[in-house]
Amino acid sequence: MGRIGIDVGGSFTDAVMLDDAGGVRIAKVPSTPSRIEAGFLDALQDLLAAAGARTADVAYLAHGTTVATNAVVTRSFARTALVTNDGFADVLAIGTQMRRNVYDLWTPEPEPLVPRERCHGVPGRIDAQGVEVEPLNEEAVRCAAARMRSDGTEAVAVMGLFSFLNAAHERRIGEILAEELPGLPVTLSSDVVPEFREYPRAATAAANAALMPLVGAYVGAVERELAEAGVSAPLHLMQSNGGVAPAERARDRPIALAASGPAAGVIGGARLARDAGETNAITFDMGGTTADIGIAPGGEPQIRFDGDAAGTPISIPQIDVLCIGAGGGSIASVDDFGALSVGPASAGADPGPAAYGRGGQRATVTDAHVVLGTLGADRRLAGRLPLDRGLAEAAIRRDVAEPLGLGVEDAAVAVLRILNANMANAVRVMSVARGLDPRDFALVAIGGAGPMHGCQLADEVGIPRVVVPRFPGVAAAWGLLATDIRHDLRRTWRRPTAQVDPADLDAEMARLEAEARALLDGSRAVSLGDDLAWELDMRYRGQAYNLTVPLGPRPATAEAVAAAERAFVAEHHHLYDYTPAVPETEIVTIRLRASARTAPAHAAADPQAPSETTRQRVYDGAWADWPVVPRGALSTAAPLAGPAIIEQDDTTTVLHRGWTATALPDGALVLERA
Amino acid sequence: MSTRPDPVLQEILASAFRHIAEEMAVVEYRSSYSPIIREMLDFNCGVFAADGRAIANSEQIPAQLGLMQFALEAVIAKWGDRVADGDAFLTNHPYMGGTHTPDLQVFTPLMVDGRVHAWAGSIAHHIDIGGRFPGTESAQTTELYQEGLIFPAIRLVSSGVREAAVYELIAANVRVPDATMGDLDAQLASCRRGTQRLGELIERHGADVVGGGMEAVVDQTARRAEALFRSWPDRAVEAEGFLDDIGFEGTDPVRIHARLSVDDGTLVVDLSGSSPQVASGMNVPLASAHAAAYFAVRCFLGGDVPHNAGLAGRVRLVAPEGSLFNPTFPTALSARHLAVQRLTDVLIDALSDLLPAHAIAGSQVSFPSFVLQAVDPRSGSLTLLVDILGGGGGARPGAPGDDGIDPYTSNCAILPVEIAELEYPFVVERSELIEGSGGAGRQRGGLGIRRAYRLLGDAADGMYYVEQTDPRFGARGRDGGEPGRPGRVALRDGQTGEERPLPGKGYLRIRRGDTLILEGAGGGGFGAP
Repeated sequence: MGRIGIDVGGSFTDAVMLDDAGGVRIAKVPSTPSRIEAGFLDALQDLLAAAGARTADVAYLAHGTTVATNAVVTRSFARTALVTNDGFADVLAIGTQMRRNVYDLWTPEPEPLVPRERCHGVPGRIDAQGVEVEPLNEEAVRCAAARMRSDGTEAVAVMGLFSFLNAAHERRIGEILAEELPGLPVTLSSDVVPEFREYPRAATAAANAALMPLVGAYVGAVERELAEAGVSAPLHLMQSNGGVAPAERARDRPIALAASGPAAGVIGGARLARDAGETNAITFDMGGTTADIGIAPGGEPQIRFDGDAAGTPISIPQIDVLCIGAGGGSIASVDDFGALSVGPASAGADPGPAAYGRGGQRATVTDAHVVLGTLGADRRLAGRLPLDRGLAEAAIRRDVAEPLGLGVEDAAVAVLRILNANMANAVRVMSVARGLDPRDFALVAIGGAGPMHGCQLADEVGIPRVVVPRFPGVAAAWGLLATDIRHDLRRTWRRPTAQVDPADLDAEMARLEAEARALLDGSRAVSLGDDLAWELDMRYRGQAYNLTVPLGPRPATAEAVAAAERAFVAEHHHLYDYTPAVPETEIVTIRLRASARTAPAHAAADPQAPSETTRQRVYDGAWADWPVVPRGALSTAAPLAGPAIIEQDDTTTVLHRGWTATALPDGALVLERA
Repeated sequence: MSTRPDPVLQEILASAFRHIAEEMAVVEYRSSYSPIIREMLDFNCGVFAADGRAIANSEQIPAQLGLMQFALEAVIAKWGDRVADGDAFLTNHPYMGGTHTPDLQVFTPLMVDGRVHAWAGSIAHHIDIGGRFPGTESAQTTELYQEGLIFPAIRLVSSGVREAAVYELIAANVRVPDATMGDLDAQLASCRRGTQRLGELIERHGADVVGGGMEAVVDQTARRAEALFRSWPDRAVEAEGFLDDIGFEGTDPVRIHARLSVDDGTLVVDLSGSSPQVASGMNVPLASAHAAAYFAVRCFLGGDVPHNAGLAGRVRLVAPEGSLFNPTFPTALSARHLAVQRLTDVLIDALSDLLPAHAIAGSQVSFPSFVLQAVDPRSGSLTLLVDILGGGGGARPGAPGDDGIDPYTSNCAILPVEIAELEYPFVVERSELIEGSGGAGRQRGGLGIRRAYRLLGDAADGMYYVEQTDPRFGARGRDGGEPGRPGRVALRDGQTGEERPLPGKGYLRIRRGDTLILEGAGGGGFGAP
């Protein structure tokens, strides 16, 4: 029996299969953007064929998809309507009233997700204490439904003021819509974001509703393909919160998939770091266009509770990851005033860097590596593309060397320095800016380009060790197998900490727990047991920004609340270096992270025959002979001292002078600064 | 002493300065107390050279961008050699480089071996700093002494020890001391984070190299700005606009006039044709007039010119002493933002004439806002409700104006309805766009916002203002586009249900059940309808 993770990216679909003995198979096939589910099945079939397995042998299937992410980025939404309070129908059009680009008077602000003509205000009000002060006008809801019927509405979001305190009006509106428009997808804001602030709640509910038809159709298509192929294992989908959820849940809550792409890399990277014996990890996932930086102190990827996608705030828990425009295809250029910049513009995969010889004219990071000898001209990237040194040199000379008055090698070094500084700033944002010292972390270098830049980035920010997993190019698919089934629930529950009655708190926790258990029931077949982790969002009274701190298990006690408060005070002091004059705290939200554990993923080593050569590479301004070592040649016993270039199919690892590389039993490499 | 870093290290340092300013802003935002900072983001943070020149800024609100260096220069002039490690300075004096009194500025020096190598600074609009009116700000002040506490570049923290007397004095003179003290703490935390990061940078690269990096940032920006100004047409352009009145009902409109020309690579913004100073809080401190000029100029320079001392050195503002934009001590100026926005619009109009390829219709500058103090019956405590409504943006040649924005040098968020009702004794009856308020045109102007606040507490009082209520001064159309609808303010009596319009600016006392209705103006249209 095998467990399979399949990650469908923009260019490639990566798949990993793990059998009961720990044996690993990987497959990489081109994605099929017009019919994504077909590429998904291709990868599955490739994998099974390579393993000599049958579809019936699949015990568990986890899938990462950018269907929701791409829909949000390209704004390919269903025709969505909003039902809200009378007098507030413009809640989405007004938003925060803030402009995104203050100095650009000429570019219009993004259109609201639901245009004004499909936003319907209906009389009825709940007040700030959760008490109904004006009954819901049901006739007005039916009138709105009639208009939706005639204007071709495909999905509806419902947002009532103070529904996080009392959802009765929202629920009744949902019932009426179900009667009037049977089968139409409906999202209630109190289900998706039971928290205060009406605009992000309305926007998140609208985005969720707008994605339901598309994601529902996609999940249906994948399930049909799987059924036809004879796979009976339950399908799980990667969510933005770093957990997977059963396919059924993804249909109701597609917004939870919207930021799932980079999440799998962070989860996979963090798990691989733990397997390599590291407690604290910074994940560094670098591909052709972007570098995604995540952080996992104590092995736990950090979660944040707000995000923004294509101008729409999305208030859902998501893995905190910083994506910057720094990849192998990032374009280097010098402006009229002699300022060198690298990225965020990218040559992409097509035409790609100049060295690909496919018509790319601009100098890129990959070209700099070809000029410096990191990538040999004989080498084919990802096993496919031949590299043309002459073209790379010409591009770097014209775009960088001549404008700066440098030699071509010095220009290539400069490109990598700027790139490295950009990435180092991103690492600092994710670490030092949050009170975490990167010297206490290991860097996990994944993605096709991550291992090439790991040492240099680690040197820049003072990280002592770099972990390069056995298959860095498919780390996201690996992450799918490393992740637990996870549901995040929350409830706004505002009160001063000093006035909390533990019995009240426990009653609210009991309600959340019942909801969580019902959700976990869907995954019983693959679960090894449930974990419930409780947290509180707290703040000083008068502040608006919360910190999330752990809360002990049920039943809630006064001591557990006091411990949470102490944790909050300590964390606030740690982050902001002061305790306010009026240190009165309050609870804002109760959070529950409910997970069902899946079997851990461990890969066995895959030995390869050594065949060492050397290559000329520039370092510290001079050409030198660098040994080129195949990945399989590294030993668990004798560390390899840098400089060296370590090659494997899906990536190239650059081991700088002053660093050593040691193989771990599972095939991962640990690079250490001597 | 400074050493020029190589071009690559230079880019690395420039980016580090920006990141430090942004990290300071995150600290301030996350730990601040009053909605005006935490919800509306009315603050900025910056990194400065040892001599006070601006190097990098976070970019929350342009109205406060580019003016901190005037206040820091006053701090340096006053304290000079007496600055010690661990000090922090507090200033808001409008006639010592400050803006208006609610904008408190905090600066901390980075010292190595007894010498100042850089400064970190934060400016934030406080919800109340005492004075005659709740919320301090009003168009109806008549001298500076009615505008609350004045801090003439004083020391707030001395070698790491807080000046307790200063804190006690502030707490005793402001209406909501918890919020003021909390926000001041947040500003200090932000500055401390800034100096800590600058210290790490110096530890790594050396003070000379970091100092040289600051010089180079300024030089590079100055060269960019100069080259762009030289590429502009060699002719002077003029534009004018008017404020409805000086803040009291029945007073005359106030003229704002600008003449722009490029002189040897420097842009000259001559405001000599503007009104003399007026007998109300509508005057503009010189530093804030600069902020308007920097904003308008940056819009037309494109995205490559950051704000720092390099740009400041290439923009020369001319405003005669005793005029609206350079009033004399102790002239009142707390509501300076209304004239700042109108001046920005006049400058955008003039630049649209100079560079017709980038011409754009006028955005509204009505800036409806109010501060109402009321006891919340749920808690028994005094609350100060502040809100700022947006209106319509100006139409572009190829697209309509944005609906419901707080344009130009301002970019405040609207208060979330649920926060307003949870934290203040009011109910928001409506919050909506005003149909038909955008000026007609081939492209229509953006729509204004209408919001209605009904009082749930017993009584409330405070100031309000809505500029641009005079239909003659609606947001200007361009190329035949029509002006936007003016702003409006009205009060509905809770007992009679009768709604009556109020003058654009005033002081208000209301009772339970009364409803204050504010309407932001629409934006101007572009092209004949």
